[in-house]
Amino acid sequence: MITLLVADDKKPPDWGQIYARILFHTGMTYEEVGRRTVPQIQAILDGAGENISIKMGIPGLFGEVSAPKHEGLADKPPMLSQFAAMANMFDRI
Amino acid sequence: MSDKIKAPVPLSVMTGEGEFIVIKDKNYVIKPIALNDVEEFMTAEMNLGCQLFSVHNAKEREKIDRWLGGKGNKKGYCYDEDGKPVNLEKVMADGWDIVDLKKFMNKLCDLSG
Repeated sequence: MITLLVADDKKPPDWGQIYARILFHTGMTYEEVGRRTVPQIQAILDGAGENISIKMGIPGLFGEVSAPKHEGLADKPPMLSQFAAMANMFDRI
Repeated sequence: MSDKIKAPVPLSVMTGEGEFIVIKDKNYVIKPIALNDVEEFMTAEMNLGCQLFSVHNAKEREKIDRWLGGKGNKKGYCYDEDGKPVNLEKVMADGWDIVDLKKFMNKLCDLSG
């Protein structure tokens, strides 16, 4: 069950669908949509009764790259600073 | 299937005015990232944890500056009490430490969804 939930969370939002629904429900111009924030877009979709969830998430929480890349260290063991950066990501959980 | 009870959306979210944060006894406004900048932020591989490395590395400092006060014609997301965008040099002069910088990064992510 958790694996399925995590897999679902990993799916990126369908921005084509999101843009289409926002443009359909509002009088916004196409360019204006990009000037909105994710919470604004989510609130508008929710208010319009659209069941679309925008999960931006914290990069790296589910295995995506988040730690800064160190140049010239490809295929080498991670550095202590990378471990520290990863460990500190969980400070707020 | 029961409907998920959602908290009401604050006016500050809909106006995009951001939220105040107090760091070293000074007020700053942090605004949420606009959709147009989300892709750039997600691919920038920002360090969201301990900022010790970020402050030490010139490239990471540039990235932080981009999201604090902006770069070129791209606006930043942290403003001082006078409504002016800040930069790393200014916030360090204001007394920010690496914990405060981490606080800014976390607040920016929280506000941005």
